[in-house]
Amino acid sequence: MQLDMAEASPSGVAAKSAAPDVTPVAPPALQVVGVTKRFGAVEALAGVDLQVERGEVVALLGRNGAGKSTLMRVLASTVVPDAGRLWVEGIEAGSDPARVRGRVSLVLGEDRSFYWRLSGRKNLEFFAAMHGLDRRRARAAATVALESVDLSAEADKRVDRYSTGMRSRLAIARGLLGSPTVLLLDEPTRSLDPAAAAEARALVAAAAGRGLAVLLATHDLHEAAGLAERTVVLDRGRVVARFDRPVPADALHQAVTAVRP
Amino acid sequence: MTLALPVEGRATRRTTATVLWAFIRRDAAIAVSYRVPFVVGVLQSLGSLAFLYFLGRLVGARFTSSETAGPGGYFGFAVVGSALLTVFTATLTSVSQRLRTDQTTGTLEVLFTMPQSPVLSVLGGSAFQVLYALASALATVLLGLLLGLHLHVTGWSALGALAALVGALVLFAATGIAFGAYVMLFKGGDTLTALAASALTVVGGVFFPLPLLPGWLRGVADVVPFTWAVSTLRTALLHGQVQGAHLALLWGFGVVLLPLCIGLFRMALRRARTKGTLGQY
Repeated sequence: MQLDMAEASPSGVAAKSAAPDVTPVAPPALQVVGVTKRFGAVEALAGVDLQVERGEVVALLGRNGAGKSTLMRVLASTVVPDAGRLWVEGIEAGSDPARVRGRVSLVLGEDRSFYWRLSGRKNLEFFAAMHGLDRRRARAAATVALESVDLSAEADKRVDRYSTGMRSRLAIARGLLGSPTVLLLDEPTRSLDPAAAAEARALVAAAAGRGLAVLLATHDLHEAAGLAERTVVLDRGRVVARFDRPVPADALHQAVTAVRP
Repeated sequence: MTLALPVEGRATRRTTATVLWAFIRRDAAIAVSYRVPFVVGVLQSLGSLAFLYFLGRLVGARFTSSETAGPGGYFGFAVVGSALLTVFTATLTSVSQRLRTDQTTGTLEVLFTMPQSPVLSVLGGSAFQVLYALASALATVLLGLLLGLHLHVTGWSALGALAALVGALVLFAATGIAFGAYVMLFKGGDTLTALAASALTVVGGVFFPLPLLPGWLRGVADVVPFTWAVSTLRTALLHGQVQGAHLALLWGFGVVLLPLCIGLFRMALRRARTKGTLGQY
């Protein structure tokens, strides 16, 4: 098996400062260098480097326990890493955490993250307000987000009456509030039927098409192959393979299954 | 599929008021969605008031505690105490209750990925419950007036009552944030706050005068800020007097404890983020 093992290159902030004669380029939407995290004896992340540009989808693959969700949570600021650095549009997370949080959206592939007694619209209005939008702008933002994920007709239904697929789309809609730069998708098609999963994938592609940097953690290799320009494979917290071009699902399968007996 | 980005540009104002108001609207909408429990809660409050009314008639003139020598007798004493208990227990317990709810419903982790301050989130999450308790307490007192409650309020005592109320809210909100830190670290803090609320009912002299307590418990009651708050407000509302020393203590403790408890909460949050337990319940 031939894997494209690209160098973990801490480009962006550090690289640019070392090359003053080069025409300035925009920093990567998301850059991670040397992120390490241990939970007791378990090394969840061991020096992970990653970069995602605007408008691209990077797939994050790995078996259960490989560190995908931990990495997502580090990027979303809900888990503090032991070491490593993170920049979003050149802003280091440690220097301005609130600003970074405002530019990174985490979309969880689970039902439990909404107020089920409220309608989809009320939920989105609330989360829009958490981005600092006043009531009028929050309402407008919720309306556009609901239209984007084709939930306008169901906007005023309570979330506890939504199907799993609808809640998944609602989660993506929430991820778009506040004009994020980076969209973190943690298994967004988990538990979805094929039609709903296809709709969710179309939304992911559309989000990248609108210039968002998308990091997609998934177990679905066909999904990764169909959506991602680049792929990173984790195992036991380490990056064990990188594909810097779209590759078919069987190659991804080999990469994921080869890393552990 | 086309995808529109919902907001043109980022928010230019992340005002505290916007965020707080969003929390209040959210929790009001959730409360109203539980129609039957909402109505039952109102009926329960009316039932409690009726209970105190008839208990007041039973106790009547035998209730001679010096602390309650106002014109309302036991009924006035208990109604004001009950109203204050409603407000102060809500202030003490609402942060931890809301955090616990967000832990179990799975909304906490998402909430803390948002750009606003986590401390503002926990305070916002408790705002509706405190406001509802204040409205409920006001309604209790107003209904009490219809049933014979007599308030004796002067301009100064009204001012003193307001100052005591705000000071007590700051102090109990600080303590509530500390309870929130406990929930953040150890989950399941409901029992702790329930224990605290019931203990305060006894040592705070809410339904009976403190001289009835045994000596050692009276000693405990004398150093509990809850007791000072109830006593100061009750004296201001029923006797038209201001207890300056208690007022100063309430504010003093509140001003000192609030930043300490916020610091404690931030440490607990940091610990939860370090341990990766923010999304757990």
